[in-house]
Amino acid sequence: MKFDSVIIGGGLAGLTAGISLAAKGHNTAIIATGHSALHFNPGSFGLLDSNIDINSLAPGHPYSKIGAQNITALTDHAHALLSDTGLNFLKDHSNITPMGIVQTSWLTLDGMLTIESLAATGAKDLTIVGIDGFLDFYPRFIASALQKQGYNCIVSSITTDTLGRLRSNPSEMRAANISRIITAADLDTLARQINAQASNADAIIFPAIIGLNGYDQFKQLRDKVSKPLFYAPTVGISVTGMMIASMLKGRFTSLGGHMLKGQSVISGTFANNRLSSVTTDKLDDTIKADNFILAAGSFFSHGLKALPDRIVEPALGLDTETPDGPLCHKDLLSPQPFMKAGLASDPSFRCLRARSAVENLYGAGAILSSADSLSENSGAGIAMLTALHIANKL
Amino acid sequence: MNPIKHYDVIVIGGGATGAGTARDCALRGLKVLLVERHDFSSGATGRNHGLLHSGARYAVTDQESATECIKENMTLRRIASHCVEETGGLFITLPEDDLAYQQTFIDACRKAGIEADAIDPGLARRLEPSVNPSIIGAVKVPDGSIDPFRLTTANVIDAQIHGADILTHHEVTDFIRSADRIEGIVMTDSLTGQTLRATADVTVNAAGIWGHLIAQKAGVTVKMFPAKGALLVFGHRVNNIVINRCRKPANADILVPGDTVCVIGTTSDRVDFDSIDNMEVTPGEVDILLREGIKLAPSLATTRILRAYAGVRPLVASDNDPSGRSISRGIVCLDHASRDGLEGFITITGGKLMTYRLMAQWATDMVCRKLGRPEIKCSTASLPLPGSDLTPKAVKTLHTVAQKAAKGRHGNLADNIPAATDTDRSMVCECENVSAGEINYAIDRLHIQSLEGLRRRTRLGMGTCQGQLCICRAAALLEAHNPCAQRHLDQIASFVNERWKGIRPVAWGDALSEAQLTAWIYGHQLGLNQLKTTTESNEI
Repeated sequence: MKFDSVIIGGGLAGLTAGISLAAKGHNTAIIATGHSALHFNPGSFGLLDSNIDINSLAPGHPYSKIGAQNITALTDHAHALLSDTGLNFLKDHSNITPMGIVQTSWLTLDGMLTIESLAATGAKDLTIVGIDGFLDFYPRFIASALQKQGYNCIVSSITTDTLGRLRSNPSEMRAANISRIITAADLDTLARQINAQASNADAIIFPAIIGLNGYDQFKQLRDKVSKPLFYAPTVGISVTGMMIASMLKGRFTSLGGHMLKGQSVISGTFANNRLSSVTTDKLDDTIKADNFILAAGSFFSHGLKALPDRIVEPALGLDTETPDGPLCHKDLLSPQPFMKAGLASDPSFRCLRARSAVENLYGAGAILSSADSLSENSGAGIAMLTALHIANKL
Repeated sequence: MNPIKHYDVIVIGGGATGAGTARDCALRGLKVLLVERHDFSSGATGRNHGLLHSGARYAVTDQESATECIKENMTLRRIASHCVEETGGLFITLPEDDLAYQQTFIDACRKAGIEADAIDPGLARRLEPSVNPSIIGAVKVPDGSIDPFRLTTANVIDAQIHGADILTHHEVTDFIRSADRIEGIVMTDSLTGQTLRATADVTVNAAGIWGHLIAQKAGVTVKMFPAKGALLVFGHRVNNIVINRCRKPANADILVPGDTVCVIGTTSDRVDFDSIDNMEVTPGEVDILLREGIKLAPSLATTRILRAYAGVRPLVASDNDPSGRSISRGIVCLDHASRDGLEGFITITGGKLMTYRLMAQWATDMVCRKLGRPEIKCSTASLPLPGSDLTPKAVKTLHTVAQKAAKGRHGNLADNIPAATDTDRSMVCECENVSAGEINYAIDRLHIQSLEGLRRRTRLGMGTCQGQLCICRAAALLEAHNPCAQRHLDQIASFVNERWKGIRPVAWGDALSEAQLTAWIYGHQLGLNQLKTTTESNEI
């Protein structure tokens, strides 16, 4: 197989690069296992924690390599890309986490619960509607947070026949499973049940368990409910995140992009300081391209692998960078040094192999070193901006 | 000032020994108070192998211990059947070991009353496929595995049923004394900060290694040396039969299956008293545990390590050697009246998890003698613990995996777990099959107030996800009983870091990937990294 550009990894970085390149007319393929950290994203993207000055980041940080002066243009480009995909994201809104903690985000999907969206409705009385037997949604914690914002909150819960059948196998009551079984008829039933609960409310808050069968459903439930309805994120796997991933994949393929799914790259052939082709664990054929982007993610996505004594990039054996000293902080909720380990790359994001930059191989997203996307809240920003920065040059 | 309650006996320490002693006292009709500074099984009881020794390990070097062990092994199978898994054990000889030792070993076992039979290595491999295929010898013995949390809880429940008072989260800060007699204790409720007092005719020091400090507070010296033992839990039950090395006891030569995991251990290193409340497993310890473990079962090399942990054994100095170089083997039961001229105080220490019942018997016999009632006899060897009752009950059909799992954890008491509604049956911990009904049962009937307590009672968070997905679910249920969002957020942070402590020494491979996801879920998704809680868990 031969493509203009091949992207290794189908997460936010890979899809952003893929969409950008396909839109420019490149014959593009994405090789993806199918897992993505987006599946755990609650529908809000972070660029950089507001307490951190972008100019104070280390020279090796992806934002420093992009150049602080280029960031704004790229964020606009990212917002437009999402918009073209049919996803309307709102800028600089404050989200409420499942446990009721308030966080400000660069971009939040319209329809998710934010302080600003709620305020815009003029609501005073809220009803937070949960689902019987669904344990990944905490109305009481959300109520507690909203009461601090000055709202009156009532907590209630509903069920439907379909949900009751799902619950007969108690380990199936996860957000993703619920979302999968909701049909158009179920949506009507849900809307009816919610309306019955919310006669005294100005606005409704409901768990984000709609949208796996399409963004239309996500919007339709809001339309069918008689009061303004906002989705609040659930814990663990995120239906909203999966929906966003699905939409981005659809956009990529509609632009002519090829998804090579359910497989991972196991080796690469290098010649004359270039990557000429890769092989995967499922295809007999090698995959050739003029340019490759490695966007395979961090440890969780298996883009990086931690051995007892060192960190490696398992697909192509590329150079990695690891901070000195202990890699783990004893407080899991404090910045973890291992987060900064990752792929070594030159100022243009070219991957290093035996300390030499590979001409046509770039690294994007969470696989890159020198960024702690967790404590910086920069994961989505790094994914999209590095992907666009690289794609713009190809 | 609260009225001071008077008891026949106060037992300090909520591990297996203390709980067992409280049970024995209560069964003999004594009014007893059990006091525990944290939660049950926080000390060595909750930090060992979970091995139901056959005693074979000691047969060659310590016949007395071996004989004690096999008797208690058989007793516990009867009275604590719901805490015991009758796995059987193998003592294997590897090419690098001396095969001649095997006969010495078998003879010593038989002399101690332990059934020991040499079997063909080929048969051993068929019985236990995970065993090192290069074994040149194998001996079958009646080892088993035991759940120390269930065991301790069952003792506490029985003590309560027979009238005992139980106080957890109460630390003994001082003694009430008069001249040459201990009259009672002063304690602080660590949850409210309140000071309380209680008096008793006899006080029993059953505080494990902390017994050294309790004795000091009482004004006597019981010289103990903390001996740290590190262990690794694997995320998979690799073996079904306990695998031991057939050689003189050494480090890391026992692999014990338990529920869905297996445990390799252990090591033995002297440590200082100031580290016993905050043990960290070192890279050197992880190294030796893995290296030696792989010799017992080679597939451990590619098995995910769930966590590393360490416990502290009390090594008790022989009374006739004040230098402390000679360590007392076996159980130590001291009457401080005859030893130190201090009335009303005894110490029970040494021993092993699985001789807890015998230790409790000795302590309670001594208590009864001191109370002038030596005629009341111990019945703990014959009376089954709650959960292991043998009285026929209506057979309840178990419908779900969760019900079966709960039955495994609570024995017949699982019948009390609500399972009527969909909400009761909804799954909180999917790895260990803990339902909302079981969580609510633990909160309502087992007096659990914290996530750590739930972990000990129900195995919540002890499975392959190490609490990654289930802790918030449980926290929400706890909060519904006890509204206070902030307190539960602090508890979640605390719980997550306690699990992390055990993962850090093995933070590579799957352990690191999962930790990264956990950090994302709790730090960012839930937003706890904004809380700036500097919670060092004060529960061990």
